[in-house]
Amino acid sequence: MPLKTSSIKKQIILYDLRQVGWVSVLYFLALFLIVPLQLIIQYSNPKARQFMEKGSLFLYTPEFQWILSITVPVLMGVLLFRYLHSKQDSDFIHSLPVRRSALYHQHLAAGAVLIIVPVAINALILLGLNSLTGIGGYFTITHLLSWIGIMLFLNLFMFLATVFTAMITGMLSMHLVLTYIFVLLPAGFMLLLIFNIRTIFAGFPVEYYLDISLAKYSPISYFWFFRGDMKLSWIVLSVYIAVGILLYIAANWLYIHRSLEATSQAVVYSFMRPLFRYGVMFCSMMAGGLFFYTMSFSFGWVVTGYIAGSLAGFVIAESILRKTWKVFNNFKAYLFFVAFLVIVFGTMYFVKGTYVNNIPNVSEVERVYFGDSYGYEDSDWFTLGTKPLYFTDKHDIGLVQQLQKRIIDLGDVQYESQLEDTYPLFIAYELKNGDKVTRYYTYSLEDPEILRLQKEIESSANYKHANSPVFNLKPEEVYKIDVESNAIKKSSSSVTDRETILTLIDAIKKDIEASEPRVNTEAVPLYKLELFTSEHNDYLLAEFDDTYKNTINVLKDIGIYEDLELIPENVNNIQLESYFLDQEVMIDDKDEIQHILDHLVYYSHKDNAFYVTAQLNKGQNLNDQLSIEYDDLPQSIKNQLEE
Amino acid sequence: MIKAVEISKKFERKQVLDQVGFQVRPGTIYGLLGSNGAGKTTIMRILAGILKQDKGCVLIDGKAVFENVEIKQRIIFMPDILYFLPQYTVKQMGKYYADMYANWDQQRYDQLISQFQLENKKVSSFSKGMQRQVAFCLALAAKPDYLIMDEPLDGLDAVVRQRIKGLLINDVAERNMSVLISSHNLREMENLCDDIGIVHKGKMILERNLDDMKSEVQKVQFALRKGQDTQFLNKLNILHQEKRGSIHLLIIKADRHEVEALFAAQHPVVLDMLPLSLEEIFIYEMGGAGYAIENILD
Repeated sequence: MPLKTSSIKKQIILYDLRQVGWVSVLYFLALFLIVPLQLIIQYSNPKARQFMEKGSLFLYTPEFQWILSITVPVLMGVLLFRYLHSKQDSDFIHSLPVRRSALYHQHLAAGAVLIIVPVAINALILLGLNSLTGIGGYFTITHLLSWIGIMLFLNLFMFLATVFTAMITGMLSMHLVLTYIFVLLPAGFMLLLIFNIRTIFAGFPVEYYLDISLAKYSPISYFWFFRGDMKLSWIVLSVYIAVGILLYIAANWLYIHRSLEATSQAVVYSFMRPLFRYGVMFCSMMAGGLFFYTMSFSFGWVVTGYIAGSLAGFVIAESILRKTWKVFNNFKAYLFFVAFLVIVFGTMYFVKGTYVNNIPNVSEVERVYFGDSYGYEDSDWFTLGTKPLYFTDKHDIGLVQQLQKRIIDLGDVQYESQLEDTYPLFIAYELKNGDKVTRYYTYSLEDPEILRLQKEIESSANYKHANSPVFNLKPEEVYKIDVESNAIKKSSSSVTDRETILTLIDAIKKDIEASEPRVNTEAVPLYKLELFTSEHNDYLLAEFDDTYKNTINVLKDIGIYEDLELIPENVNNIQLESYFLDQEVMIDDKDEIQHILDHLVYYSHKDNAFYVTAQLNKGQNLNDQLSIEYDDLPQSIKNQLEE
Repeated sequence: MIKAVEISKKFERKQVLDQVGFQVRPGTIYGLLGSNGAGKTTIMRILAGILKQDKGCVLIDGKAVFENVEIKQRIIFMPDILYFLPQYTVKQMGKYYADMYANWDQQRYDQLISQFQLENKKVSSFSKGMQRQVAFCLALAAKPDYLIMDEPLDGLDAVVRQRIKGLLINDVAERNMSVLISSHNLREMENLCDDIGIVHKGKMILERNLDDMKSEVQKVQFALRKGQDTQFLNKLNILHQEKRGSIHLLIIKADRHEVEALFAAQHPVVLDMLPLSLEEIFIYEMGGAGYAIENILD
């Protein structure tokens, strides 16, 4: 008797279509609404059309595209392999004369096709729009191809991950949860780990690691960050492709070796259960520690968080695995975990000193980055016209190290970073052997030694050049400079004469090099230059005060200074009005006026600050957003207020 | 021929089957008996190729069943809780089976469906009993060589039950189909099965051929004259003995003819050879273990 030996069963595929075909149809419609239709609508409305930019197709409601890409494939996978998570379905399907591997491949293929088709049809529509209508002016074929590529890549990877987790669990609800845990785990785990390391190792540059390397560990975050442009790294993509292939092979292997009697178990393979148990405990321990850390910044509370978190993790893992709340009869699992932690933390305790005090020898250092921005390798991080500050000079590097040592000696003020007047400091040593040592601190300038070192560092020409835009532009490209007072309303004048522009730039450069660094103050410099160059869309800024003699002289020469000048002689009186208290003071003493002018700040966030208004004798008005803090008031005024 | 050799199976740490072995000969019906949780369903799921035994082997026509498509083509497993593809109608289920099983006989399916007067509606809309009939139609139209059924007669009324039994016996006789059927009801199996195995706590505690069994054990009711010697009874293997007035009731393990001859020689006042139910045989024959059987059979 001839047997039908073909392992491709039409009815299995037909059944899949009946089951999940609707997902595919809805996906097509949703994508159509989000991309082609949106293009058509925007294009057909002349007002909206002018906001359209030529570029990636991910510019069109990227959030929705992203959400669809990370939910639709998961839904598809969950529905297609749902039969594995119900005893009756599973028994029926597996009593049929079809090999598991054949079932796996047919469902996999059905799912992949149902995901690919909606994207492909939309791509065809887009292709039609591109070649037949004017919409083609807003994206190229390359944009279209990269859209298809990225969409299918993310979609199919999410689908494969879902199929893989389907094999691990025997419960529908766990399947959904496990899938997202699985794709978020590498990134989430690193995130928790990095933050937790920070609670122990002072100087560990959390943000540096978060920003530089974490997003790529999860497809969800990776594609969120890169959805807008094409800067996907080929290395990362290759790793994802390799992982995808591994998932495909592993899922097949797991399916063939799956014990069907474990349907309804949270984790089907017994060898994975300890992994699950201790994994949940470890992650929830770290989450607990981190939660208490951000609440209190105290190590005692962090430990409390570890204990509470790991216990919660123990209860969660055990109750899921054993499907009962009576979890404490397996308490020895928790004790194992604690023993493991004692070893881990013990090791960390010994390693801690080495890490914290690891300051490279000056002779080994090629250069050191000094600044507040951990993203120093990316020029986007810097305000226009400033650039990352590197010290290569031994003396300067020595200063940085002295400052770093002093910060370490004084102890970590990270715990108090919620308090006012602390500053971030990011130091990155690039060593001659190619290694990098990065540290991040939060420090306060209250300590006189730190203040001295900070001043000395900021006095260096290097520091001034890196942080002042005037040094980072081509003077010949400046076509206009607006000169304005920060304190007086409508005091702007423009300089467009080429000669004057060059003189002015020269003058302020000299002044900056000669100036005392403004450390530990938020006081508003009284004047500013806005330099417009043909190179940038925006202007570059240079602020200064009355100590900038060269600049002031140039301004005097061209007759602009008079409109800006804010000296006590121009001020009839100043009124101070407390933010919250019913206190008002009128000041007309010239010395007191000078003192206040020197200490003006933009809207202070301190409760005990005062609004500052003034009567100027040239008919000018003071800027509205100026204030002064109580601590900066002249003693005589303080006395007056206390009466 | 289905041959299970010392199959053992653990669910997690619980031993569900412990070295169970038996055979289902071609063209016979084998009844698997046991209380709930004894392991019957597990045995059947292993035979159907759904689960894999930890130890031992399951051979059908000399070949292992697990992941063996050719063998599974010839087996139909009907679980105790029936499953149909959601939203599928009677006809669609037929098409699905037709795609799966090479021996599918569409004509027979249509015939059976009309014989049971089943409309072409969604199977899920049917009553439990009607769903069971659909399952039988599907199973029989697939013309399997081996039909494995877990508690198949539950929830059917007497008429349908009889009709299905008839169909089963017919296929067994005509196509030499082998049937493995499980039940916790001994009486139901009595006039259906050729062989019977009793499973208790994961072990096969008894396996017998019913015809042999019935001819081996006799129930005799007799009365002797007053003062007549009962010494002759000592020669017999008596499983059970009762006395009501002058009437003795014996259950004897022996050949019927021997017993008849022996008693006739004593010229008793009353002598009746009574019919024995399977249940009685089990209970009496098992002696001490009989109590266990009483417990597992209701």
